Amino acid sequence: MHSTPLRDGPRTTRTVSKTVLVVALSGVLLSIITVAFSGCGSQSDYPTHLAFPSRTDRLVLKIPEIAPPGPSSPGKLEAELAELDGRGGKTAEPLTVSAEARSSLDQFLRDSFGTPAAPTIHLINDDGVTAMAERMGLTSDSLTEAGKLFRKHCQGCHGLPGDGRGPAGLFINPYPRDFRRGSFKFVSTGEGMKPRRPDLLRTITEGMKGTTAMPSFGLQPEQERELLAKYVTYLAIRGQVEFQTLAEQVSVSGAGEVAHFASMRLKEVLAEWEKAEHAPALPTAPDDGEPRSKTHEAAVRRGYELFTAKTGTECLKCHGEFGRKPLLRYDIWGTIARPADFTATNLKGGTRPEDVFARIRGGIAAVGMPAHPNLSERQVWDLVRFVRSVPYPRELPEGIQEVVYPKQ
Amino acid sequence: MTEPLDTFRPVPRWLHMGAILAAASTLLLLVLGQLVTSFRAGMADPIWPTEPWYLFSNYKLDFGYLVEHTHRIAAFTVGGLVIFLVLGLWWTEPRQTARWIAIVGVLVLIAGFGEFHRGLMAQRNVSPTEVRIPLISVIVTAIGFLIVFGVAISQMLLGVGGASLRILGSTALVAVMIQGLLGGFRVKLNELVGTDLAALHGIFAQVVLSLLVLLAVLTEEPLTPSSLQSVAPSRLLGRWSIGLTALLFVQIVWGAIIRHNPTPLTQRLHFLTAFLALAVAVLILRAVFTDPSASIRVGVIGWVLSGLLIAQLCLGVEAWMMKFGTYTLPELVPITLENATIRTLHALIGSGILISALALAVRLMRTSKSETRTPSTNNIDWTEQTVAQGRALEIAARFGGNAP
Repeated sequence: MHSTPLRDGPRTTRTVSKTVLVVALSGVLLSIITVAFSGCGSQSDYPTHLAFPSRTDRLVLKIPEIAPPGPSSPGKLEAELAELDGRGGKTAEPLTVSAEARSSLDQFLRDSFGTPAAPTIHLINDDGVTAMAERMGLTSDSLTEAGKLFRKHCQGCHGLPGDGRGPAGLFINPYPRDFRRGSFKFVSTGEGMKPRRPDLLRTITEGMKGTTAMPSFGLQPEQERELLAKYVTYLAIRGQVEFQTLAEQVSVSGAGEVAHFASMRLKEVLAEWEKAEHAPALPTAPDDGEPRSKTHEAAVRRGYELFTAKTGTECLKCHGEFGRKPLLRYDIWGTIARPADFTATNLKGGTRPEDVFARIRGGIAAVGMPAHPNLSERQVWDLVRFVRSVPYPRELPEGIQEVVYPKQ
Repeated sequence: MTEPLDTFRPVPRWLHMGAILAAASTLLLLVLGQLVTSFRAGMADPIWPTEPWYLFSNYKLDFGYLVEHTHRIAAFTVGGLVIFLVLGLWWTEPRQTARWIAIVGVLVLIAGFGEFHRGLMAQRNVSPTEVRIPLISVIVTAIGFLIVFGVAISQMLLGVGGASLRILGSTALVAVMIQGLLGGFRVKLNELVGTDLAALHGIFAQVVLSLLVLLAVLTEEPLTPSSLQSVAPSRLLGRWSIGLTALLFVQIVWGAIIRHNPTPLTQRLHFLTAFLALAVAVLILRAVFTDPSASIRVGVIGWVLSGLLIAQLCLGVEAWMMKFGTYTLPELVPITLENATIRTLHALIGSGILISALALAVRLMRTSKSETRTPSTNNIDWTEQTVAQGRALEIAARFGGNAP
């Protein structure tokens, strides 16, 4: 029988005890060395050498006016964007920009926006930009901390530069938001404007459950959510400067010096964000009483009339059958947007009265939902009452319930 | 552990088959779970808890959604199988009174757990900070737990045959419940501890699988004395194989952490533990293959373990290169079918190695006690002898005195 060290016996037992002791001591020593080299480590710290990648994905310069053939499919983002030119849109590849221009832009972005490990917003020889950023709370220290949180919670879907192309986003429909256009759908500041900080915070806090894969981060401390909102703002500013500079380079032959153009864009974009922070607040909802009360019912009726009007608001044109048969359309990112189904209890932009008011009053420029500046405040609130009642048949007045929910 | 495992098992064949089915189903559940992780579909559906039938009527035709929901459906199925298994195990309890008390305890445990879920379901749309824990259901669950384990432990102390199996089965049931909660809270508390709970959920899955595999192995028909060598394998070999199982579990812990949150420390530990585990495994396998008595007991498991180790080495290298050997951060490496397959296989074979090592250890630790028992106590048949023994114990307990 072959001898092995794993056989019973006094001599073998002594040998095994020594072996175990040596192995245990070696293990302890190795552990100490391992910890010394690696530290306990925090995976959320970005490596200092890591830079934001140069943009290589397609630029969407113009979206088709015709309706898309169907809804988006997960994992088909690049293919859908590639089809835009054939459908009357216009796209461009960043790599068609000269290497010199791209290099100059990369350098500008590095100098002005830093790296993921050391994010910042500043302009060489222009303290005004730094001051503007600081007024918005976008200081280097806060952005550095915010970046760690972004890496931990958001990067998987939204990607390192906020391009919406994180690995986890591959299987998500609708696609994660690409921040680099600087556009946000659900703003309370007005038509085509940037969001104010609370708008971003609301999306981060509440998520967009039921309609998208964006989860709620309501359990995170408020300070961390605030930091995330700042980092999203930072990525949006950086991304928009990059996008607009590249778009200028591909669209205009003999375009001017890249760094100068980008500097001007940076100042403008920052100013837009600062303006949004000071936009007037939304009006307070009037007291229309509880659902099914007389005043509330009257408001719902008026809202129904406005909603179904064939001229003016024309809501049914896009929200066919009150959203059950929506008219698909392209959004500014070149992806496919689906107008809201009001018979569902969840609305992406929020279901509070003021959320719906903001959507109606200011529209959603990114997806082509028009603003309604000419409607009076009362009219908008009437539409709000109607839209918020649609998911609940019993809250709809007699006559309207049968129209919204026809018996089959 | 200095004493050989108790191998007297009055367990019917159908229960052994049930244990195998539960273990196999759990392995399938692990496959789906690993796919969820590889394709980052853990939050595909942020709604939890749900009724089982919710999963059939609420779905999107997205790959991630389908994988995640299939994982949940499989989890419900495994839960049902384990409930059946545990009730079956308690049905084999020879003492009638203890049997019925324990079965009632199991049903109370399940009912309490179900009511706990129902209480959370009713608060699905409530903010997590405002959710109220359904305390009554927690109390009911605890009562069921105490009843079951009270009976089981008392049986073990009284030396009733099969008591250790019933404890093991009951533990497996509780483990499945805990695993379900871990998975659910991973979704519910995603932003706070989602990644950490995902790793813990993956690690605990190995515990559940190990318990069920242990049940399957311990309920199998033991080798008859005539087929065994006269010399039992070394007890030291058995202990080393248990040590190997523990080491492999630690390796899986590092691996799970790397899957979800690859810190520099865990990356290094995973590497170093791989070397150590492989060295110990080679040592043990060499001892097994060169010892006829061990070789017979272990059977084909030794070869299975060897093959899995070789495969795991190759897969480990590939998985490492694909995750850490690229131009970007590991979490930003695009998910492709190739790298997802490699990583999933690497994780699954790790589980396979763990349960193979566990089965090998159990087979090696089963020694002379079972060899001296007569073939008439063929463990997988429900015989009059076992019934009589149980009744004798019951009478002795009721009226005092020793059982014949």
